[in-house]
Amino acid sequence: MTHSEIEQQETIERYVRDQLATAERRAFQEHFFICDRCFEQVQMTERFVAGVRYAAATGWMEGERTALPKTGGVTFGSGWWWTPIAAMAAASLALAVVVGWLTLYRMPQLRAELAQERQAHAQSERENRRHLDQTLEELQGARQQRAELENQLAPLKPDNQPAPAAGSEPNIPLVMLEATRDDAAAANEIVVPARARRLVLWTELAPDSSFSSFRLQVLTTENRVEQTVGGLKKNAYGAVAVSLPASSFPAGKYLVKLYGLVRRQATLVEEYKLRVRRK
Amino acid sequence: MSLTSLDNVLPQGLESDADLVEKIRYGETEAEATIYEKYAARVYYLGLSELRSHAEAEDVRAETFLRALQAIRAGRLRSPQALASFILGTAHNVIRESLKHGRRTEQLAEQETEEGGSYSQVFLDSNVELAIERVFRRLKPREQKFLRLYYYEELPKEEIARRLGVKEERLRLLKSRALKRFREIYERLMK
Repeated sequence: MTHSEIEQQETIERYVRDQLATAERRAFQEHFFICDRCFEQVQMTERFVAGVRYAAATGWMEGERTALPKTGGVTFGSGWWWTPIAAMAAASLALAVVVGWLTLYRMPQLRAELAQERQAHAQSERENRRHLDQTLEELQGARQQRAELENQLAPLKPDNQPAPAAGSEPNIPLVMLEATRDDAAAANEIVVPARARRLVLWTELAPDSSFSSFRLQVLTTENRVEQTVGGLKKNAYGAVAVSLPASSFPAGKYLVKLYGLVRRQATLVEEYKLRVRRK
Repeated sequence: MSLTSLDNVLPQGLESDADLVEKIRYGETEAEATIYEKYAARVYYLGLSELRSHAEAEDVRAETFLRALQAIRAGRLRSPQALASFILGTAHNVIRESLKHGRRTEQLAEQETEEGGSYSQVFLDSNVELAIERVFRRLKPREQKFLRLYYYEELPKEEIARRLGVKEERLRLLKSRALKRFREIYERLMK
């Protein structure tokens, strides 16, 4: 997809007006994901079209409304006036039939239908209200989840965002630990900037893990226990996360052991090699 | 332009996606922030245009980056130079899941619409309204009518050209002039 094609085929406008085929739509999305110019144009066109539609809907425009298509006029046969009496009689008869049909048959039928409809509508409204209440509860849950996700993403926001509140720390180094299966396996690596006050170790647990809590130990290569953190619980993502003071971790190699606890009985769950790099 | 060829045309000083992915895998959180800064607005726009809700677009952005960054950290991104495509695909998955969930909340959406939240209004703000008003003040009634027939009533260009008695090429020119004028005013308002 080139800019020349995009311009000639009015792709941006057709995208905004939802007139592209699925494949073409996806292709253009792939394009504006890497093209600043097209991304800016598509947003501007979106605003422009929204503005025009808004202006049209709220009656800002001075132009006339679209004329309705002309309905075909009733035409009569060339000799209709030859039989005026017959025509009037036929019309009267037709009118009498219609009135009779409406009064004796259609009106009672419509009343019955209306009563049924009212009943169904009342039932439907009750159900709608119940669904709505459920939905509002689900939305509330989703909002809370979103707030949690935003908290996790907050350290990733660029530097031009507002300064962090006192006591908070942006860009905490984090490592997702992968278990060490053999001695030759590569160590998990974390780069800790000099100004970092804390670092985070994150490890995902087996889905069937049944321990009530966990304890994490960090050991040096001389097998000296550097840190022990107990009382860990599996979080909503099926993982255990631990925040540790960065100052306790000079550059070097460490061994991290995770124990699962059931009734104060500790069982080694996983071991992780960890290499800390400082910069 | 293909996605994978972008790395070859990057201005000097900008890191390629492949470099950023590599840095994330080595635990450099600054690279994560760079990727977020680069793609966050696009993901948000995609969410907004597909779901027509600012709150849901924010959800899409947060969930997309959570998934994408977890995948990169865990080395599950097989082709680092196709990062943009990967983020787009992840965003589509999140949107699809949201739409699936949204079927249950359709009634709520309809209610909001009746209360005045028509679909196109997610891209409206006071600056857009002001800019469009100023653009319209400069247009002739016939030109205003064209914009309404085209964007609001969505009639085909041939039909509009026939009704207004102008050539189609003229309509295209008018449309692009109105958009250009709108852009100028809107950008001035945003400064």
